[in-house]
Amino acid sequence: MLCEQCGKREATTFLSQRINDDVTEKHLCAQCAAEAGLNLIPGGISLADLFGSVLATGTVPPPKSKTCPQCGATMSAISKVGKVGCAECYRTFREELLPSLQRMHGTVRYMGKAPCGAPAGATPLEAPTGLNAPLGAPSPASEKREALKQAIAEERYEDAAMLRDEIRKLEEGV
Amino acid sequence: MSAKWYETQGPEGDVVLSTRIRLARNLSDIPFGVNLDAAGRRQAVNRCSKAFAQVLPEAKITEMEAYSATDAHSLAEKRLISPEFADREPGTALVLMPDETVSVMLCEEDHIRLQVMQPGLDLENTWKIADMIDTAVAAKLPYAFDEQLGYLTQCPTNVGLAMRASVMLHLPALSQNGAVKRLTENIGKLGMTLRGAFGEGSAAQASMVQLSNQMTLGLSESDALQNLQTVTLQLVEQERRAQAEECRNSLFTDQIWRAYGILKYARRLETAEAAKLLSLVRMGACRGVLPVKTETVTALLTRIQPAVLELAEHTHDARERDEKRAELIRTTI
Repeated sequence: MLCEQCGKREATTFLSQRINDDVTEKHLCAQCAAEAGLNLIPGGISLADLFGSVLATGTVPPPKSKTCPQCGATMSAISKVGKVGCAECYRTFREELLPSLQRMHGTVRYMGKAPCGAPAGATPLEAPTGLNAPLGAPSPASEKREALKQAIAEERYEDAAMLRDEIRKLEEGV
Repeated sequence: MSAKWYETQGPEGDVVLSTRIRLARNLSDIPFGVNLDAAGRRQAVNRCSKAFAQVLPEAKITEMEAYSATDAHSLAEKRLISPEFADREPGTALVLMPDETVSVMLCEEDHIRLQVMQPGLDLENTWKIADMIDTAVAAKLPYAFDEQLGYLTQCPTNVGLAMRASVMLHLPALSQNGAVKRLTENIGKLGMTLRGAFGEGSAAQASMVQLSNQMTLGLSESDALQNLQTVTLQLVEQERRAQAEECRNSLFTDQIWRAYGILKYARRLETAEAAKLLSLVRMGACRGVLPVKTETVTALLTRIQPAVLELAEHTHDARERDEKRAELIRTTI
């Protein structure tokens, strides 16, 4: 879409401003955003400031009493500063956070690595059996998963990274 | 003293100065930085330090408060830490490998900000190192991780891969013909950002820009890196073509020689002016116009930064620093 300020350039910045209870939303091009004081380039922008307001718009207000059991944060505190209090907050306020995350990222599907080094969603015990694998015999992917577990246990992280990539390829059918 | 990563030239080194990958990680069982006081930060730092000391036994782990202001700023100028981290908040610490390719900010915005740097365009290797260290540390600490959302971070914009991969590019010809400005406005559509590097003042002057991935959900690390690699290679090609075009113009080569002349004889140089002239000289070196090595000029771009220079030359004020800067450049090129 075109910039709502100049009407000429492509809008690249979405600005949502909340003053008291008035929320104004604008799509701006980089130049008009810079002129509006959103110094995107070259110094960057305070994302926390911006996302505080993104987090605050369009979400269902949670009951006032709901607080994070680990850090004590409330959803309104998180919205105010644009920063999440702790890992547990993501669980406590999942319902409230997911729509905002979806808007920010366009999706809420994680596809990267897991802390154990394996591709996300691939737990070593749930190895899918390949179509061509003989019944009862371990699939190539599950063998590799075992090897991956072993490699991590022995702190051979370079091997682990290689195995993880091989597993990913096998699962994607590449 | 052995050469640091920023003093050597890597793949596509005429246009790509360096590759950097940053991973943000947090502990699952304590509050994020926003909810920690100095004592809380110290506790978090202690736990993380123990893990990093095992994974990177050669690294030096230092509390940020132990650095002088100049030390801290020189680390930021070398891009080993963020400018905010140079404020030396009590309780924060830095893990630094001797060759300065790996640095870890402990209790910056997130509990762990692991950073790996390599010269030139080398996303594959840089990722390999970052991935290996990350997996090793994850085996020792309870990372904040969610099956659906990935790595959980203080700022929701980083959630997911929590990875920022960037390449630092020298684009004098594309800056000159206005292409960088157009790119900055449109690159967002590809899920990337382009911004000035080397600080506000000297960034635009030196035609240095940093291209980074922006998306952290809906794709894997290797997809994000592949996208960045593709766009970078296109920019490299375009810059080379534009440079060849510019160098056929005697008006432009005249500018390059004039810049060289000033740097060769000036007695006092401020950072911004030096950066602007070095940018032209670097391009002259890349195109074989000037009798200077590209990597010599690249290293100077870091060595002329105020705090780096102050530490190396023990200068006391701005005037003395400008004199030393001119002397350093004069005697190096």
